[in-house]
Amino acid sequence: MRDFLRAESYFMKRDTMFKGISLLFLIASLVLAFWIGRKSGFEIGNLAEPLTIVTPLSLFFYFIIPVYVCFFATEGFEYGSIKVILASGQSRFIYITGKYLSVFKIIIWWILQFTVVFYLAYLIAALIIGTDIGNRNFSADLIQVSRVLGLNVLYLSAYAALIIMVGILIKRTASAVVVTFLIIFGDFMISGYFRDVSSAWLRAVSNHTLTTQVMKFSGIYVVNSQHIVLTGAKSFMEVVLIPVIIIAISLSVTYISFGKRDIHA
Amino acid sequence: MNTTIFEAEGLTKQYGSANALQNINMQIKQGDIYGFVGENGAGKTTLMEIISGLVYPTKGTIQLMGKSGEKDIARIRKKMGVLIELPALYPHMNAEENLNFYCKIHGISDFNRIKDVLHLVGLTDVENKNTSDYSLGMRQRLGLAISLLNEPEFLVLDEPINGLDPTGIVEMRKLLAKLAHEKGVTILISSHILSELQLLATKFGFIHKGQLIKEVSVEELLQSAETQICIKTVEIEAAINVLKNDLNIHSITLSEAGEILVPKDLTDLEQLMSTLIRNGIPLEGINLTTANLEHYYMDLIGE
Repeated sequence: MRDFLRAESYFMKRDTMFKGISLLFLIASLVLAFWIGRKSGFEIGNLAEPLTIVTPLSLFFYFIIPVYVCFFATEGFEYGSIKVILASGQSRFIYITGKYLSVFKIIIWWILQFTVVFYLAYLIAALIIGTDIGNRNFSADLIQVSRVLGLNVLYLSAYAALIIMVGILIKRTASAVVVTFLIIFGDFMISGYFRDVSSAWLRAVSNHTLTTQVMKFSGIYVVNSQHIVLTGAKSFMEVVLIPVIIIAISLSVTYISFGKRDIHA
Repeated sequence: MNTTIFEAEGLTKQYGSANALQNINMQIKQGDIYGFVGENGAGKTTLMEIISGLVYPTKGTIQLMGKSGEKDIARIRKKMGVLIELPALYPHMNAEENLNFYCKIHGISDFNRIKDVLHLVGLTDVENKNTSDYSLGMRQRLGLAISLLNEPEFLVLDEPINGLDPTGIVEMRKLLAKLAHEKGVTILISSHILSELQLLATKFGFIHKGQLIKEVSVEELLQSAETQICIKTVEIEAAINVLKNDLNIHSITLSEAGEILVPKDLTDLEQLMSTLIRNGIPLEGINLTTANLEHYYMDLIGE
């Protein structure tokens, strides 16, 4: 497993798409830091406050990271490396687990890169301008930010498990990318269009989509002009259980189907 | 040198109702260069995919380097190198980076190995070029380099000389022969270029419609191969009439090049020449030829 993980890390470091997305996140975090900061005059109530500004913007991760995961999950079929990897004695279980763990590392790397760069840029700009940094609600903001970042990792991992399943089942990158877009935008549209419909069943579906949960914990979910936020143990359980169930089902299907299937050169 | 490296017993692979492999029983001994001969779709690649762990057999068992059972075989595959059809290369990486990736897969930390295999396959001068700019022949060489990275004891090569230029083919043949003779590497190789396979392999397996119809050693092939007299003349019909009427030879075949082929054991070369000359047949050339792997294979499958 360690050998496979090292090889996958090596692949990513040389992957132009990975480097491109990292650059995109870097530029986006810098531009957002200065753009948002300029509008608010770089005011900082406490040291965690810049992060509370950026965490609601995490929704855009969900339009980019799953697409990369799709390419990453199918690259072995696309370039044929899966033949050499399996023929070298790596098991199919290690292949899937290694892919998933590598994706998990990417998710953490990109979230950290985006957040830390935004935070540092914002803080440096604030210090240069000479803004006073207060200490109001520091603990509360820090808890909120940590929770959102942790849930983003969990939700992106759920998307990753789903997309790896799709990629391994379909094998062809082009077709898998189409299905990935259908999943991302389908979930987004179900979340948005069914939010206010009269059918209780459709409203329930909308209320349980991944996008809805992401918007809820990011603090940007609005129904009938009302901000819906996570309150109470039930809503927290729900927001944690949905991605965990998706991860469990998706990985099980992937392990079972990939474990039994023939792989042709 | 009698250790069995690969053994298949009753190996069958079905895709729906189609039989890709039917009850294959075969053995490859250590040090063998096993030439796998068969038309497209005969089942060569399927067998290689089963050996490599990419495809599961429907029936039957395999043993690899004395190991049986899925887990043990998977473990022993670390001592194997494969090149099945197209080489598995990343186009955005150069040769060295591609090899580095596979080094990590194999857990090889000695990066001199990369230089060694690049030197072996003759790619040292283009190692920094992205593989997207490689010709098919260069890609094949790099594919072979990947299969050699872990210093395998058993090499499985499916059409490795595809796309190679004549020099490349000769170099590849020499390299594989060297690996087999000097390092004792056992090789299973398929190719459509039977003349090359004949020069390299020590044993041949002929597969037709999923069935292994014959296995012969190179010695057996040469023994069974009929030596023929090859006659070149512009008056083919007249020459054939002389052969039939004067020498009572009826087993006559015409080669694609328009040469008359007569089994050597049916007549004496001197007598044949003098008879043809006496009958005024203008001879352009006359020589002895040995039937090759191609003829043997065509005879075997009845075409």
